[in-house]
Amino acid sequence: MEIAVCVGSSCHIRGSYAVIEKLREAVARYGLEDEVALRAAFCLGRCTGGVSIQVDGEIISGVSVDNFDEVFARAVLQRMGKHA
Amino acid sequence: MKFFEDAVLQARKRGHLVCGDHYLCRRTPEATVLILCDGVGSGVYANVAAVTCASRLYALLEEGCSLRAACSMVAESMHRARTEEIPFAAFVVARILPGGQYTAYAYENPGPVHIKQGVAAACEQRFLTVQYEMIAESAGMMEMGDALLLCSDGVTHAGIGGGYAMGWETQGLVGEMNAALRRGLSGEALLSHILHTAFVISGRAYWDDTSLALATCREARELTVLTGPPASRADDARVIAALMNAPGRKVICGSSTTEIASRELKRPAVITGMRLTPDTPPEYRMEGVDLITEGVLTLNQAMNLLEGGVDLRAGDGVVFRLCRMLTEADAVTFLVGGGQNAGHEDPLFRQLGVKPRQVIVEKLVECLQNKGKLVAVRRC
Repeated sequence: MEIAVCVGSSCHIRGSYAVIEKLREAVARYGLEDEVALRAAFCLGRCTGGVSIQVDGEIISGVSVDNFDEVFARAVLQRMGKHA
Repeated sequence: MKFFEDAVLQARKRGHLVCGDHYLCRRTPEATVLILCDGVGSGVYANVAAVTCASRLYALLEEGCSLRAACSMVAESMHRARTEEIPFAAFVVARILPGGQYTAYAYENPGPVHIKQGVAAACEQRFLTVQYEMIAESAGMMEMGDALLLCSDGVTHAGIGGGYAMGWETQGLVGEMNAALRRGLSGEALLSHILHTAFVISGRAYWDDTSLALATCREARELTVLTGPPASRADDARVIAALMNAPGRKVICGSSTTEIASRELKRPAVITGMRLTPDTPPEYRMEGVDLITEGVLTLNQAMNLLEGGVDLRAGDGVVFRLCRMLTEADAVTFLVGGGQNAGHEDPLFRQLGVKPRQVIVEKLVECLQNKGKLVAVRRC
């Protein structure tokens, strides 16, 4: 699975760095290092409303540290058949 | 592209706190102008006269006056100062066009000296009458490596009372310059040597305000900065080609802009690392481009550093490196894309003091011009 975090201007200012750190922690916590490739992405074109991430091609907007756990559970763990 | 780097060295008249000579350099894509004024008298009064004269000449040129007209007007106005208690200043002004052609006017002041292929010679002068006054016109052509020297009469009068009956005069100055040039001196080292020699032959004192200004012709250090996607997608190829074909170093500021460049050039662009911090925007890498940064945040942070008088060697982050490239360049061209990003209208940007791209580029242009850079903006 590939997860890309947008680091364009709008997402950066809304905390791309924090979302990347949360992803790193979550990948480590669930032992997904060999299954998940984490990278930064150029502007994903969803510049209003929170940080945008792309999970296996699907763009998810409005990600923040507040809703991260819920987004990660739904977009990553569920897709991989794992539980939080 | 020719660039005329200027240098100035001055010494105050003995016993005075303020120099009565004043120097200005005005550099635009149209011409490089060097103005040196020598206020009559000494100290503050002379300084005021010199600054006023230089400011008048500068303002007349800014308003579009020709060099000859500006110098004639100011020289003519000095006639009253000969008999009335108003500030009087002598001056020499040189205007150098981008191709190297120059014209200079001297009023009650030594004329310029041209260093051509390592040999100094006083410029030939043609005297023109302006009402009751006279100005001396010189003209020539500067090639790569040539230099043009302007000086106040503190230089040509050096040595008076010290074995030089009429002072060093231009002939003595030129002779000493050639001796120094043969020894390999140039630029600021040459000015330093001439100033010190004037000091020595005057009995180790400056008996008048003494100023030397030098314009040296060299290859310009050019930089092109592309920021923002073009207003029309149809222009993408043309704009990227304009960047890649530009001489000198190349910078892209903007994630979307970088993607466009990557697509048009068929070269991969990669983000250099995931170690982001809230303050430092990301950096990218692509073959053929010297520096690739994020867009508006980086430009705003660069402006903050340039405005703040920060030592640009103090950091190695992407913003510091951009600032160093901007300040090391002689000529900077901004290619500014007109493509709009609705996300940048978010009040969060304003709240954080992040100015829109068009606004911050204008501020950078002004800042760099004030630093003596030749700056051009092309909207695409």
